[in-house]
Amino acid sequence: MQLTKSILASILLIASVMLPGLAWAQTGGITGTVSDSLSGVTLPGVNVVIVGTQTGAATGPDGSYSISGLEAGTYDLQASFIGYVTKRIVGIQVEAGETTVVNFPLAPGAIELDEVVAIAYGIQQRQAVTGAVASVDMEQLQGRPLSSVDQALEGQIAGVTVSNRSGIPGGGPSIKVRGTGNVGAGGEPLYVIDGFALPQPESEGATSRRNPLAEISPEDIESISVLKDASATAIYGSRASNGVVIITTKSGRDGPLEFNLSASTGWNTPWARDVPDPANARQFVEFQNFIWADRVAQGAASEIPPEYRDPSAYGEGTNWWDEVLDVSRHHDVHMSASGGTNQIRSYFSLGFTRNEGLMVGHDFNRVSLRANADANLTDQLTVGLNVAPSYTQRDLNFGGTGRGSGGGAPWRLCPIESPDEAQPGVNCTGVWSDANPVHYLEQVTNDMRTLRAVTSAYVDYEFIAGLRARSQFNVDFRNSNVDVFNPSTVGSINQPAPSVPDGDIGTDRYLNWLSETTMNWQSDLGPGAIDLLGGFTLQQQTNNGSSFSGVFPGDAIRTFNVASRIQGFSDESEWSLASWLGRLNYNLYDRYIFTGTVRTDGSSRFGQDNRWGTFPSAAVAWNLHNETFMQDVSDVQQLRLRASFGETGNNQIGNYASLGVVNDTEYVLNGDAAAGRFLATMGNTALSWEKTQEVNLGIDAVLYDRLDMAIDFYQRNTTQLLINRELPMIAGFGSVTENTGEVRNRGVEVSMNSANVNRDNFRWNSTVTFALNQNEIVSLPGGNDIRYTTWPAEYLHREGLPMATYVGFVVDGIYTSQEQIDRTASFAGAVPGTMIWRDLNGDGKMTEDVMDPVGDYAILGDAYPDFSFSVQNSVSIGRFNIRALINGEFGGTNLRTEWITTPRNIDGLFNVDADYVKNFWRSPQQPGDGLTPTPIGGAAPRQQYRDTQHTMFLWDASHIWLRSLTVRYNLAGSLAGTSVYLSGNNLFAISPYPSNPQATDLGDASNSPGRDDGNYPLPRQFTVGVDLSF
Amino acid sequence: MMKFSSYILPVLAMGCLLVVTGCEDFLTPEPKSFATTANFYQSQGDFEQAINGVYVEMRSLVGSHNYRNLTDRRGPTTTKHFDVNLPHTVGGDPQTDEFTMVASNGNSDDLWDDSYDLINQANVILSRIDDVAFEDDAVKARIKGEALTMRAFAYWFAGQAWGGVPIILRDARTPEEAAPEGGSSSVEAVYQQVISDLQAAIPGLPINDTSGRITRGAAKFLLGRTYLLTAEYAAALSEFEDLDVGTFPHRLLDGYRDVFDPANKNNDESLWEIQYNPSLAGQPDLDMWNITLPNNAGQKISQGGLLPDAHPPTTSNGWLMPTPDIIASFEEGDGRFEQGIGWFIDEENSSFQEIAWPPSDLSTGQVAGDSLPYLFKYYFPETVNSTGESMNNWVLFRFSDVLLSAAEASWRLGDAGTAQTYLNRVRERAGLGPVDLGNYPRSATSWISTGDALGDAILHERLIELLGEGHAWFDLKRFGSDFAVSVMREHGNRFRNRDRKVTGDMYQVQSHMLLYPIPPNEINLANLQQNPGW
Repeated sequence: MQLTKSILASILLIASVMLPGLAWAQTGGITGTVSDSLSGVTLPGVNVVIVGTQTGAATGPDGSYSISGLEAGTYDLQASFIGYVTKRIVGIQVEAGETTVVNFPLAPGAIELDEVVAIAYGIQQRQAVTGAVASVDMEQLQGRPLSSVDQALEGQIAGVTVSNRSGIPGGGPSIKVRGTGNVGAGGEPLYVIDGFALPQPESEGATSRRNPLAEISPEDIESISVLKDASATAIYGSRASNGVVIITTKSGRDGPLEFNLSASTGWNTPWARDVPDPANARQFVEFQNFIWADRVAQGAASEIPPEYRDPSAYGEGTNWWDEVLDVSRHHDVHMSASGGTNQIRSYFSLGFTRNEGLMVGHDFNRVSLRANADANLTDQLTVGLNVAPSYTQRDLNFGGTGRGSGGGAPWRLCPIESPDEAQPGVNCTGVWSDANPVHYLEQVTNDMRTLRAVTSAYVDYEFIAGLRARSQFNVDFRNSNVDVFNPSTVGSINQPAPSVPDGDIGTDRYLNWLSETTMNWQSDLGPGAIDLLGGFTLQQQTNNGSSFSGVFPGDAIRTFNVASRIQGFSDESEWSLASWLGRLNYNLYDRYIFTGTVRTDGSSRFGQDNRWGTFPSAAVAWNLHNETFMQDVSDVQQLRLRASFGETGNNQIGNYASLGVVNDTEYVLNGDAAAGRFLATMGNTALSWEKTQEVNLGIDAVLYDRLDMAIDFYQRNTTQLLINRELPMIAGFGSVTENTGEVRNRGVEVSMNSANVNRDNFRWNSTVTFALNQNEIVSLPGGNDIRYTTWPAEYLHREGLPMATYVGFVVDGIYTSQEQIDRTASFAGAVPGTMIWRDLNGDGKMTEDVMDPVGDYAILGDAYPDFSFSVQNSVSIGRFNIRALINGEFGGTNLRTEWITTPRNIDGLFNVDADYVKNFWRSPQQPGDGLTPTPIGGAAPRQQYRDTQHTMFLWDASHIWLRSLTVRYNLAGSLAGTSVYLSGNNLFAISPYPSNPQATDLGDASNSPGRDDGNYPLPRQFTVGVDLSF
Repeated sequence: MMKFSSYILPVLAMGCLLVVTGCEDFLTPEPKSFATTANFYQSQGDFEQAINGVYVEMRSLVGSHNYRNLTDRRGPTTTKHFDVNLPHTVGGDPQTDEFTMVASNGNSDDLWDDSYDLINQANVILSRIDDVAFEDDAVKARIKGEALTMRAFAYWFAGQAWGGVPIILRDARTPEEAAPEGGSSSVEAVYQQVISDLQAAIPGLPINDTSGRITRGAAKFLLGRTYLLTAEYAAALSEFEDLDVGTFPHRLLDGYRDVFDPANKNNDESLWEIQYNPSLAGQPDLDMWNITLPNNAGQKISQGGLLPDAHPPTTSNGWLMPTPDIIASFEEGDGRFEQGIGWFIDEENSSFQEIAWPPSDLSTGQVAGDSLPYLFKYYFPETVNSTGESMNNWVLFRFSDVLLSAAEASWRLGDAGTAQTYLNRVRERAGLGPVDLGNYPRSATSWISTGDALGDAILHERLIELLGEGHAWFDLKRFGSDFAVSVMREHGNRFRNRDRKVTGDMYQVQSHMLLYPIPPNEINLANLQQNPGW
């Protein structure tokens, strides 16, 4: 009652002050609407003030404002709103007793000066950021249709590499921040969604299988920031050294109910660049005929098989790649509603996506829901809940790559067989037969259904002004079920149907929870402002997996109740992390800003002796533009220098790498199973963090009101590398994981955002990024080279070179005569038509030992690009907006392992590529292109060609890519807020590389970068869509 | 609302408390799907399981194709089925067979790996077992005996395959320990290790056991065989003589083929069998069809209805087939020919049929038509399981080898009479009369001659009796280095003269090829010396 009384008293007091004025003045007013000058959408919350006074109003939900009580006269009126150019209208006449109408069309701002960016555990004004933090242009995020969240990073941020490895439905690109610093540990960044550090994929295998963001709808994303340097990331401690991607999802705002609807549909089309070109029937028979004629001549065969005798009898035959690839569709619908009062704000969304693969029958479907609500229960207490369940379903029965997998089948199959043949190859002597891939695609089931729910709840309490506590609890639960059924009607390699039907069922599940409690104190302290954060977190994940396989009596019933010979396994693993964190930010006069952070992590993944690690960082920024001596420099709106140093870690190794694992096995005693055990790994109780020390120097500037740029120089030294060191076999264990060695990445990043033209009916913005990164191994255990093979690729780690350089022979064309072979150093068994290897050491023989300084092996480059760039232009003319993204990478080298294992296997077991038949050396009279080896001459030449590494399978993977182009039209009038668009992805590329230059493992396998095993073909994607907002 | 804040602080405090006091527990999740060195190797039961794990390593070593390639096919008596209609395949296998192997040969590499895996798992037990109290000390003695015998077998094999190798007697516990710097020991030191391991093992091993475990007889026989390598012939003979007395159950079975019959596993004749039962879930089979049946014979057999079961042997590649020379070298009336060798004929390439013995002119070894010989001694289709897998065990050591080894030791000691007595016991079971030294060297294999008729007779008896059992190559080497080189060169010439695609670079046998190359990667990682010549 006391409170009510005092409120009433206040109202009476205010009223008594104002009433006298109302009683006698004769006044006029101004009213009107503020809207976006491009889209015509009305803007709520815009401040409209009379220049030179405190008088003004804010626009309401419908964008209208009203100022009354003005004496007759002339006024200047100004409207300002974040993200828009402030507009002033002068000389407005106001008559007593009348209301003047003044509408403001506000033009979107050229450069946003007071942007807010998401950082670790909070948000900051751009001006106060001390570390290398970049955010994705929100307009870009909304302007380009995206099928996955990580696509939004493409071409946006200097130093962030987005590799479009494959077009697998439900897959995503692989992301790298500032090069590769790891040898044996994972290299993907940490994703933090709404403050929740999502579990990093358990292993490299897992990354290539699934995209950790696949279940999240891109339309729900409000903003994305990338923390690049150690001062920004160190507060994530042991998981931060690969960079941190902070994603904030949309939430409700104080304001009227707002609906958004976006819908799009489109086509995925096979793209000539990424569709293989196998030999046609005539070429294939020509090739086989050549091989068999040689076999007959050698006495290895009595005759050429009848089907290979006359190439001219054949035409195109069956192109098995054409059979399996087809234009497919993709659809996306997303609806959201949000709104709120000053006490409760909420956001709801529902999205549905379907993306079909280029291979017949493959698709990915996602239904995602998001509901969040924040409520101010009292002035001091805010609570919030964010629930995001999703359900995805993926039908994908050709997941793998390479010659043994289904995805490689079209390479293997014989083109003279009919497309209807159930087991192509059975009529082609000497060629592998396999199930008809179209039958396989249609009949074999391989479905994965995933339910994932990411849920967070928080409580935020303000004890006194500036002192808050926040406690957040997050859960990520993911459950995947896989169903596989291989019916009797589909054969397998060299085993025609009928086969015994078999199937698998499997479950893969994790539950990850994170509890975080932080205290934050913000206050003026001395001459500046202090912002102090401290907290602790606990995180734990439990994984469960199980898998069962069995055989079935027939194809009719496909559930395991009828299966027999069921075999199965299940396992469980977990990890946990406990951490303390703290951050001090001191801002002196908005000119000198200091940030210091520290995090202490304890991880279950490391040995008991070295479990805890501390990760400190410090950074300073100097806002020169706030200095008095800069006040008169009108061309410089902002100028900031930044310097930082920090240390971060990487714990992306297996959950139990420090332990000596005793596995189970079984022997037979008395004819029956006898349980056995064996020591499978040695363990290493001293195992600890991989540590990265990073120095970053940066300049940020906003010039001429239209150019916003940032330049960063960095050096990252990753030490105590988690290396899986190969042991000699006499040690009894294959390898041991230990902390040893050092890798350095150095680079420069430049990003520029410029408003080239900014007029109401013509706007042109450009974003340009450039990043250069150099990778070098500084030290290795004992200074020794590590040479290793992941068949058929051979690599070398050597001090002073980039990581994982290719090694092999240098090819100097092919031998044209026996005389030439006899005259030079050649490998044993060389015949005319085989490759000439360069005798690098001139000792007259071929030695393939790179460890040996006299060997003929050479260092043949590495997979890492020297630099990458992107150029993005957005042009708005009237209601049209055209947006184009071009990006590229230069200087990387790929190894075409796909070719080595299948089409260029050239022993006649598989089909070959069309170019091979056109170009291979037949005789001095028919030398082909003079560069392509002959398929004959016995085992040695083929071994030389495909079992030994050399320059012929290494290709420059530099590329420039027209990645996306979107044309959008903004409707006007009653449909204001609605836009329609037409968009294309992966439209055009220029590259010496003959297929997708990014189809490699660069993203997740630090140990075997640049291998192109022939990933799922990347589609060229076309989309039409509509976005509605009302 | 002040009440709410009064809840928050205790909640925060509890969280802090958990971190402070419970952190080590929180950060030490007990693995649920496997044991670790921290909680295993603690009890008798743990070691009873661990020793079975060593048996599995033993099976990996001896049960592999690589093992047969290096121990048997490299010799003159067995070969890989060669099909003129197929391109000559490249890879480690033919290289081993045809003496074109390079230092990085995969067979040699894999077997080196398998040998040291076995040694390591034995070491894991041997370096821990004495720290653990057992309920039954006899069990401890037995387990130690088994681990020592298997470690001895691995070194015995390694010494013959590679010569001097590193001797590792303790498992590595830290990354530093895993980089042994000792280098290779001499081959003599390797055999001395074998001898001391076996001498330590023998007392703890059971004399009678038919479960498939190592018996005392197996260890004593291996010890005797090692003495043959170190030229301690009297010691060798004494071990063999021990096994021929009543204390030990070992004897010759009546039928030669009965030894290999899956219905008759771990019989009195066998000293050590590697155990298989592919009918059990997840258990491997010996891959016997693949080993013994000619290329693609499996499918053709099933199409011809020759198997009693609907499940065909799907893979058959003729990994181990008798050579024409050894077939021609059988004596007239040798029961082992009928019991040990079978024939398939490929009639118009449509179906194989079994044909009656004898199919060919034994004096020349030439085989009628397209018929192909195979090791019938391992062929027991009536015991095939429901999924078409053969049920055979691998017979590693057996009693007739004890007799033949005793003959060899006696001969080396200059006691020709005793040697012939032992030899004749083996011949008698085969239906042959006493050895006639005038028949040696055998006319069909006259190039396999040491210059001593009794020595030739003993070696010939071994090659016939133990055909395809993984002894031929080491036997040949034991009879002399120059001898082994000349035998293999002539073997190559004879293949070259037959209708086979043997090119000039094959069978260029050199004396350094008597040892296998040390895997090159191992030389790099463990700082070893390559065997000379490689």
